[in-house]
Amino acid sequence: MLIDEKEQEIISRAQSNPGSFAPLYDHYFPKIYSYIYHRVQNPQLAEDLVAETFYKALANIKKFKWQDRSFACWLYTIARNQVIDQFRRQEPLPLELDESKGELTAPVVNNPEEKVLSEVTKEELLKAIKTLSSEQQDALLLRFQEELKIKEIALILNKNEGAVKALLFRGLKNLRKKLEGGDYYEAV
Amino acid sequence: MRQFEWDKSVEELCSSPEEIQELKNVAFLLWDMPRPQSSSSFQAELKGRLMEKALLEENYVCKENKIFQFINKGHKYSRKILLARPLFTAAAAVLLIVSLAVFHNQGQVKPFSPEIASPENPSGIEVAQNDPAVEKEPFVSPVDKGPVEKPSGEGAGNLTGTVPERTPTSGPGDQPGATADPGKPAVTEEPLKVAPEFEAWKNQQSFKLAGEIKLPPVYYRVEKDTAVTVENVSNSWKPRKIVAVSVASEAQITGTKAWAGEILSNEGFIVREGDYLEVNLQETQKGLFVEVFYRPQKSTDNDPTLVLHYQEGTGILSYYYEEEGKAAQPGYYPLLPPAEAFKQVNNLKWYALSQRLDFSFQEVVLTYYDFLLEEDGREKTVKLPAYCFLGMETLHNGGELKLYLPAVK
Repeated sequence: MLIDEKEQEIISRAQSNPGSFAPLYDHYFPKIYSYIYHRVQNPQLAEDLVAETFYKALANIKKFKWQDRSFACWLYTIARNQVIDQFRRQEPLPLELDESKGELTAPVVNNPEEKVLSEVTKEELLKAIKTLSSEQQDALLLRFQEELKIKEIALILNKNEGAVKALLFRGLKNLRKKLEGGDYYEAV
Repeated sequence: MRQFEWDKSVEELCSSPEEIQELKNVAFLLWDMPRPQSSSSFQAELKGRLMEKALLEENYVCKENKIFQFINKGHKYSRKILLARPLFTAAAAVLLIVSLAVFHNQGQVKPFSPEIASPENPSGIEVAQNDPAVEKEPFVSPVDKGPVEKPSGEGAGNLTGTVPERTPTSGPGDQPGATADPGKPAVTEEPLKVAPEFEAWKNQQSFKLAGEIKLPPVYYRVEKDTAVTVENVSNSWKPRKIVAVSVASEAQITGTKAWAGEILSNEGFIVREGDYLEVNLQETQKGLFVEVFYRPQKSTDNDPTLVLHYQEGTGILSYYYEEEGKAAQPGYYPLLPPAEAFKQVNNLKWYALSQRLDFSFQEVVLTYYDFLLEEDGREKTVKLPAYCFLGMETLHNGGELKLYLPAVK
């Protein structure tokens, strides 16, 4: 993830001197915002949860230990917990999307089914994601949007790697079904 | 440059090459989805707030470290001296032994014994009547001597076991040690009471609510017509704790007004100049007990007096308030501690314009409030003692908020 060799040094500095937290914040802010935004799909709420995530990270950075878990995993775990807490506290909020609703492109267009996928808009994709189970959403977003390794996702979700693979498989299958079936509008 | 990376391991779970391709396409859609951008102002603003917090923490750590280093240095220095100069160590040890021997032989100071402590000499340094060295002056009883001169502070009177009249007292005179004349012989050997006798216990009452209190909804900076329910509200109760700065601070002497002020402040009641504060001490066989009466000067005539019971070594034992007949039969009624009452905040319904609110409450005032009581499906208004928590919104605008929560059990 971050600046690899330097990451440990930056974190150690931030642990002894919280004022040195800035580089970590700058590096991880877009990633954490992206993950949280896709999970809650509400810009205002995403900002609130991102703020909570970084406040918690700053307050607990001294407790972070270099073991088999990277700083990114640790931070995504905090972010995920914020999202979980949020959903526990309240009903899902109505979608509030960005103005950019450009179409997304799938790489290969060989048959009519895939042509449907090629016409999927960002809005449709986000709505379809929202119909998946919470864990499937986490697995898919962390793997394909945030580009984490399966091993890292397993640590964040507190599951074994096999379970994460199964989550990815089922999540992708369900997502495909939703996108082709077009029943996701009712599910939100 | 980002590059789409597919997980070959997922393919193990697929049944056909077509399925693999389909899932790959969906995964690519996810990967290709544009990253959302937050407003740059938010990113910068949050960074500013975080750095401010980091700076505060850093200062705290620095101070802590400095104190630790100072203590450490002192410890190292004294160890160094003792180790490097055996002669010095030996001399210090001899001096200590000699001093102890001298004090022991003279018998001037006896250790504190609760059985012989008296109101006139409550500090525990006994002018020992059993000691032949002091028995030169014959003991004069209070009757023989005539009326005992009343100490200037009322708190001293409490030590005799009688409950004093509740009138405002003045300053450090409340402290028994301040009024006792160590030169005078002890005038009474009345045994200590077994347990305290608090004023509030003499006319103790209790509330029996004939229904359930319905807490009013909170409208924060919004009209009822345009209100939107806010589920995501975070509330914290952090009383402005006061820490006595020096060992000699009067606030560290149990029973002084400064001490009572500190105890109250740590519970969220900010004691200000001119507030009514009465502190009654009672020394018993079970230890030192204090009954504190408090009412802010600025409170309205209707606001009740708060009563705290405290035991040295244990802390606050209980909360009461003095009811003068405005809401119930006159007497003393037990109250919830503010921290306990504050937990009811979780039962409130919030309305505001923002989706998320964060409040920090630091101060509390005891007052009355008209709550709705639901009884057999009917609602009626009842006046009850309430804590008014004063707080501030911390996430958005720093707006102030008063929150009324029932203070009765």
